[in-house]
Amino acid sequence: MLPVKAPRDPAPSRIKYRLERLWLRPAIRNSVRIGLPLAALAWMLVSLALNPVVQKGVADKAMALRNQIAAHPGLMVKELRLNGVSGPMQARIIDHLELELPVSSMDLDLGAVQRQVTALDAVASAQVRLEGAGVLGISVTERVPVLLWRRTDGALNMLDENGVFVGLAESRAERVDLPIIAGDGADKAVAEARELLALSEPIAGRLRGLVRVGERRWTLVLNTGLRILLPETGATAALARVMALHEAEDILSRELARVDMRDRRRPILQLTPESLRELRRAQGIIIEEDV
Amino acid sequence: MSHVFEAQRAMRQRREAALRRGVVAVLDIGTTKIACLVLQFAPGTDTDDGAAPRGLTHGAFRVIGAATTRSRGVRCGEIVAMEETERAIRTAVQAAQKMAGVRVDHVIASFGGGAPRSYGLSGDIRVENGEVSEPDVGHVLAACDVPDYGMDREALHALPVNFTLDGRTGLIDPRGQIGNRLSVDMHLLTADAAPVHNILHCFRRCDLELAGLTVSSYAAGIAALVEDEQELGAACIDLGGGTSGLSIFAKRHMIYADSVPLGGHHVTSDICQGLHIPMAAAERIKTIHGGVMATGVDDRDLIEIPNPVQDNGQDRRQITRSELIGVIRPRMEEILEEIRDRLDASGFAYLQGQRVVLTGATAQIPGLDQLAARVLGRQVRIGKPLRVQGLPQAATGPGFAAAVGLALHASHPQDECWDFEMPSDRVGAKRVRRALRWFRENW
Repeated sequence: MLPVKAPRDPAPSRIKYRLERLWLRPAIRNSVRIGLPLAALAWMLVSLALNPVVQKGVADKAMALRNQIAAHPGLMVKELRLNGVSGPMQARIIDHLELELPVSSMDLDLGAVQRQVTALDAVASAQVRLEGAGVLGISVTERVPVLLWRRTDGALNMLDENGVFVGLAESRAERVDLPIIAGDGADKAVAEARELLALSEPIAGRLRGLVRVGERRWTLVLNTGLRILLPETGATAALARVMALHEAEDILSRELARVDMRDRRRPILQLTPESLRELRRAQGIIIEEDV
Repeated sequence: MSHVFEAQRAMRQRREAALRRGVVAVLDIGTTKIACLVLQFAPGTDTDDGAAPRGLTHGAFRVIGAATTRSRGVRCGEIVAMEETERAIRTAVQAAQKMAGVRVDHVIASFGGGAPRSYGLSGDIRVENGEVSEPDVGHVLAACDVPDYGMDREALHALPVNFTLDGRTGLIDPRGQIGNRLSVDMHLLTADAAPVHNILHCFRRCDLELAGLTVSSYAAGIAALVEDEQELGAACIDLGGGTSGLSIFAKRHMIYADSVPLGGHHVTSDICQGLHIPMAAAERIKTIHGGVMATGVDDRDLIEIPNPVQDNGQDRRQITRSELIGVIRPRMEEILEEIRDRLDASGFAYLQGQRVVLTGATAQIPGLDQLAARVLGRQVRIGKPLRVQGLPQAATGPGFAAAVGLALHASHPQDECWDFEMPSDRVGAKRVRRALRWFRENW
């Protein structure tokens, strides 16, 4: 029998030939051999990473691991130590912090603690640090109240030397050691008020307080009802002048309603009505209607 | 001739590019087989600089891929079925590429057909500055009067064979020498345009760039002739399947090439017809038992031949070897006589050396050298191609002379006419380049 089937053609088809030649290009071959698996791997990783279930699982795992580490006894904070704080303040700070001890130092945000402590009005600054052996140390610089500020609504605020609110006072009796100021905007001129208070040291016993008028000038009020009106500028010089007058002529002990220092050229004194009448009588000028 | 000049120059540039890349394939398109070798050139080896040794130095490259396939669609060295030939070329190139593991883009090819015809040209000029310079060589090459070789033919080679300067002849390189008149003998080889264009188109269809095209007899001569033979003069007869090429070398240059459209294939068809056996069986018997010199032993040497209708062992025929020789010998004599006529016509008799080298696959018939010596009347030897590095054992036979020769040709091409700058009035180059060249020549 003659072979019926034609012998197989050994020649490559044109497509196969071209593909083979393409395959022999180093760039193509490398990109297929190395680039393609890498690309597939990258695609798989990306798709895995974008899967919410996987994301949640990984996050849970990581969280669990973190918690396990955080639970290590060496990292636990068992004690809070406050430095430079008075007794009632200490309680306030601890109440304010609301720390549930023991807590792991990894769960503790020292910055937040520091911000929380400084957020208290009575605290000027605070340093927070882990002191080792499970102790969280907080060094606090307190604000010292130097003034009481009677506000228009009757509330008594304690102010420190910079005029910053320190706390509320229940009543005047609670802090009798502190001088009192009043009026809107008085807290913004605390420095001047303290200078005036220092100057008025000789009459400290008679001084009721300082009143800020129109948020621009001070008036000293004495317990006799005498008011010393000071100018906007040069208030300390004016008060010094008054004090000098007082020392020389004892004017503040007289029956005066007010001492007006707003005119720089001369102090203007206003007598009380009784003393005015007395003066008139003494001078022989009797006003009829008064009789 | 300028369009040929440009085409050949483009091919040269492609070959330079291939050498720079370091990988080039050589492809011998024969009638029976297509052989493809992939060559790797040593990196950094500049084969074209002046310091490179001339001649057949073959250390500069190694063969990294070799493949042979049965040729299809080729008859008498010419493509007759484009599709089939394309497939065969693809097969060979792919196999060679696979063995080499590199992609090949540039191919240097040889083919046996196209009825190559040689012309001896000569040109003559006055040397301008007393010293022969490169433009002078270009001028004298351009001054050669080109014969009218016909519209349907293409120039394949234009080899400056011999330079003469003021009566001193036999100069290989006249550059730098002092003289007045420079003349050149040039060997112009033309082939039929149609087969050449077919081959060009075939390579284009295979996505390959042709970086050179030669006739296979030239390539076979480069590989099969040893240096002395090339120097003194010798003829190389490339006995192929469908054509038998003839190339004559003297002073290391090919000075004549021709081909006879007869070859081993005709022997096979004679056996096929004479013994009434299939072609494949005839080919097999020819290669195993063939011979051309009958001796007394051959009468008793019985060869079993298959029945053409394949009767499963009944009616087995036997012939003696002398009968087979009786079929082969007349055909071989005819081929050799044909070649002898061409040799005589070429003026080979006037050369110093009278050595004839037989190569090609058909030259492997036992006793052919004795027969050829008798017919041609000259010293004959069977030539195997030079050994080149990396060539597989299977590709070292005479049948691969053309392929190996092509490899040698690729690594050390001989200067051709188009390697020199043509004078500006002869070449239709771009205007700017022409202007530049005019400036260079006049200042």
